[in-house]
Amino acid sequence: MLNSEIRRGYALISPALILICGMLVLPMIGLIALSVTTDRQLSSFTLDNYSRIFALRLSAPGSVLPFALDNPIYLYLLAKSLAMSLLSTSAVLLLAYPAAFYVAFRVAKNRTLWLFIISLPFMTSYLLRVFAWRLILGHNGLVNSALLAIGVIDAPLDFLVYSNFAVVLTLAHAWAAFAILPIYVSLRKIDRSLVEASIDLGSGPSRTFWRIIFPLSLPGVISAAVLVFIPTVGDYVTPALVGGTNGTMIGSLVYALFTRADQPNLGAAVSVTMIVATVFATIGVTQVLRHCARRV
Amino acid sequence: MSSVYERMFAGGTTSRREVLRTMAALGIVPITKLSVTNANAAEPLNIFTLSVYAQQKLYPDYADAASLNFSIFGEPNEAVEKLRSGFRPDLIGPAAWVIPRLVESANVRAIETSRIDNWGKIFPEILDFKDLKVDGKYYGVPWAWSPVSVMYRTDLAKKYVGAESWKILWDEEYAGRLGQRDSGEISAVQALLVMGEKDPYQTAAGRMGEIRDMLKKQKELLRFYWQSETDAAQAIVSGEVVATYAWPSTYQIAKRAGAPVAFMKPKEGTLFAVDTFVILNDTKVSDDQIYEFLNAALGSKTAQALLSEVGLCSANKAAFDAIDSKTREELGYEDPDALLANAVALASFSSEDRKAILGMFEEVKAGL
Repeated sequence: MLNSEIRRGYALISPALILICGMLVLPMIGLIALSVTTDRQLSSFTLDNYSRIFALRLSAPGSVLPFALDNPIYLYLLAKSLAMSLLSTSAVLLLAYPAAFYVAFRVAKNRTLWLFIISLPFMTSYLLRVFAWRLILGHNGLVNSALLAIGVIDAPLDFLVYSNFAVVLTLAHAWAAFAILPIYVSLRKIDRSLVEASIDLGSGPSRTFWRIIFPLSLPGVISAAVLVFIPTVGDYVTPALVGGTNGTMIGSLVYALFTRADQPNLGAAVSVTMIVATVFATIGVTQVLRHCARRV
Repeated sequence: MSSVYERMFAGGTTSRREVLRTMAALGIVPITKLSVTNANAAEPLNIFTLSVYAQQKLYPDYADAASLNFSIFGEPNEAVEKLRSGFRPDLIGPAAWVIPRLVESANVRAIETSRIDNWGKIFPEILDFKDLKVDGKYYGVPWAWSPVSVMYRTDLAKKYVGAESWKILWDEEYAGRLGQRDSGEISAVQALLVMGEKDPYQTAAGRMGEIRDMLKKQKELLRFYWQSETDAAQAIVSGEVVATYAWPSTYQIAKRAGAPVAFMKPKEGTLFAVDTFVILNDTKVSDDQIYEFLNAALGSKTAQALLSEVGLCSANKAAFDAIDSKTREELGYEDPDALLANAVALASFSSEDRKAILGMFEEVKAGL
């Protein structure tokens, strides 16, 4: 029998627990059930959807590997999406860290105002921000118009939009606030006396940063990386709007399977595979960051 | 320390209970519907349709056009999915080729053609369209049709002026400056026409390998696959693309923006799309209201509005022929009978072919 303390604890967390169960656990169970059945009514069990994703066949003679994927599109797009997300996450962290550092260490007054100003663009619709990048990077957009006007280029730069570059840049901007805030919180928690001690003992700013500040801010960096990496893997909107013909990512394929192709069971299997791959990739990324921190 | 209420009401006549009673009353009032409604007022008609049709001004023959309520879908498959998940409009406005899928997966009902006054005036080629009927019953009221084709810049693709062809969308001279609809079925039909097929829906099964090669070749030349016609129109107007698959309404947008564009009649054959209204079961409005709207959709003023506002043709032949010939000529519709006789209708592939084409299209887009 649970004692009253534990019962009280459960009672306190029950609203959040119910919400998580209702909004997360049950849909996940539904998704997994859909992925191992033959139709929307979950009539009969099958692993055909997963075997379609992972099935191998003998390679053509002369190939490097003896086996090849029978339907490579699923794992290919998954790998591409993980790579694009990793790139976007790295870009976000590189952009967000200096901003968070500046607000945490250099801003003495009105820090809350700074944070509010940094967060303000992210209170607008995600879709509008992606469209804004199309206006900036487009054929007649801000960048091309400016460069044409000052004579740097003779014709608009086509690679700016409808390219993987545009996808990474747009994702990096769209998720920046989710990186700046946890890194800022982590930097603020650092005991300033440690920084002062490092300087007193003769370390320069660079050494102080890499030996004291960065390792102590790593929990925030890891949180930021996880917060950005996970949702960008399955992003559908950004590749659709700025990715062009090469912008297909796994999210686009899942959408196509559920709608145009009318194959929801296969779409569910791809989604579950994506979730599992993302979890393992996230664990990998965090372990790498922790390892780097220990080495520093 | 005395409570807030005691401090507030010390010496006064207001009691805490009275304040709470007043606040409760104020809270209840806003959530109670106070508006006086006419007991006989009709529910607004809810129509789920493409954005091009979601304009009240397109239905001047319907007396209550101002009350029409539109929801928009971007793509027919998205519409089917939304209906499956429980969305319940009164009417849905899909292209005819979607009807077999709708009948299979959504809660729709057959049309009582006797209640459509202008049913006998619909273009015979359109009434014969196979996808309108399932098991011998009509499930869609065809109300609009249009050729769908390539819109191109006449100043940038001069060699195609007078020599219009679907091949422009495979022309390497315009690499990186072409647009295509984000649809495997539409891309495949175009590829089959370029390959010389007169009946693409019958011959697709035997030519899947060649279709894949054509789609792969085209993908390397494209700037984008568009999902919204506005993207296609803006790209043509800015000169970012030289040619793109387009609807007449896209052509209208580009023309109004002042771009030197033309809407092709390709030598391999024009495609045409038929748009319909399909009635869902469990509608909130009466059948009388629904059929009043459907009759209005085939009315003469609606025919005029369709052509002048969005460049599309009414399925009512008599109403369409009655529009002044100058307006029809400007948009290339001087002889709709000849156009329909020589065009290939956008139809549904067989379920096997469709699955193969869609899978192939996603692989081509992924670069495989």
